[in-house]
Amino acid sequence: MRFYRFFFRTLKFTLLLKTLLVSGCGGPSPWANWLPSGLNDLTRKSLEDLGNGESKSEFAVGLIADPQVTPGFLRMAAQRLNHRGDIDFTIILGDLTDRSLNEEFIWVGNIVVEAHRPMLTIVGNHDGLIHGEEIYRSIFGPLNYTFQYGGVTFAMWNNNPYEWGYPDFDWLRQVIESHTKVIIVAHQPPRYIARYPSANDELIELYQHPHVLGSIHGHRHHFELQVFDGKPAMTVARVMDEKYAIMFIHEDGHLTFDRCEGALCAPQL
Amino acid sequence: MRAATLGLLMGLGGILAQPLQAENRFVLQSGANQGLIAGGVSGEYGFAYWALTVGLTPAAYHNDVITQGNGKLNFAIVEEGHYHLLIGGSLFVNASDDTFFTLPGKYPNRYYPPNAYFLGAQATILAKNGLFIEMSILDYYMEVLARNPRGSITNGEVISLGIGYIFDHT
Repeated sequence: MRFYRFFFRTLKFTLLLKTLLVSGCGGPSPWANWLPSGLNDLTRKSLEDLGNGESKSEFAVGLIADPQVTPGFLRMAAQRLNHRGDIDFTIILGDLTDRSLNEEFIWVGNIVVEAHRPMLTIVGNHDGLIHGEEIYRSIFGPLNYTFQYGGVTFAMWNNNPYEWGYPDFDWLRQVIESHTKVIIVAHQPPRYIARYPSANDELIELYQHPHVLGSIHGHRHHFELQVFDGKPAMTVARVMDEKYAIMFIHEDGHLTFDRCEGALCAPQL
Repeated sequence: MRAATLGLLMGLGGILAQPLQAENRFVLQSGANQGLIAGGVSGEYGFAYWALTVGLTPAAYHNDVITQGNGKLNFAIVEEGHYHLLIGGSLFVNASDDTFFTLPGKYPNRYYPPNAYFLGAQATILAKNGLFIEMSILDYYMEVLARNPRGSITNGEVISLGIGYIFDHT
């Protein structure tokens, strides 16, 4: 009898201890901002993996938006895009986090590292709280950057005014002027940039420039296709319930989109 | 601001500790959302254990230190040999310049939730000699678990593990 009591007591304690140890060890504080080693400079690493797509005249890009609070759905959408053979790379369209906490950035960083095809990111307004900017810069890289793929330039542009002030239009104009095919990638879509109404007017004017092919966004949490000067400004729904989109870049430079939920995709009309 | 918060928390701890003087003990802890190193007072009333601590965590940026106040209330639910299993709740407060309790005026109404405090739930194994290990989860991370498909987030991604010692515990 004593043996059984001892045995079950030991077993219970061992199971509890195992649960504690296996369940992992997040940061020591909710506001801690240390990063695991190896989880840094992911933008540069993804761009090195991506290459420049020289031989591509047409290609497809996965688009995921606003994984804040729902990193599990982000992981599932990323895995689904991994299993498709026709996606060259994926862009996460901002609001990687909800509270700009270190752990939230680490969740997304780990998903980017796990992905089979390169994943690139832009910042959203929710990523600019507390130490969000420093953590984003450490894990991913610069807030504004460009890259070329298949002859198209992607202008990854931070346009979150409450957190970073009036968006840097000089930088964006300079990118547009110096490249012939430009897709603007920014978290907040035209007509919905917060705080400064004039920033919306200034952005909408840029669609008239012949170098601009269109733009892609998140922030609004639902699918919406706007058209400015005949060019699309696609807003992607938040990734909740595994919603995402696919952007097809055609040889003549025009853009079309599929909106998807799980395995089901349909053209965005 | 930070020094004032620290003073306020320590004062509050002192006031709360007065009626519990007979039970007063010093507690030192690392992790479990309380900070890299957290120290303060702890006591017990029957099945209830409480602790008030100040936690410090070196920040990776600006050569700064993250200072937080922690309040914890646990209840012993199982006693097994030399060990107690406790469960309870916590409040973590960080009143730095980067955080806010109420939304700053520049933002539209309800643009962000407050980020200067979090609630937590914890389970603790406390040995009779005062050593304890604790796992803690924030209220926000519980929301994350609830709003994502089962299995898409691992426990290790949301749980903060800690270890501590209550001095003169019997």
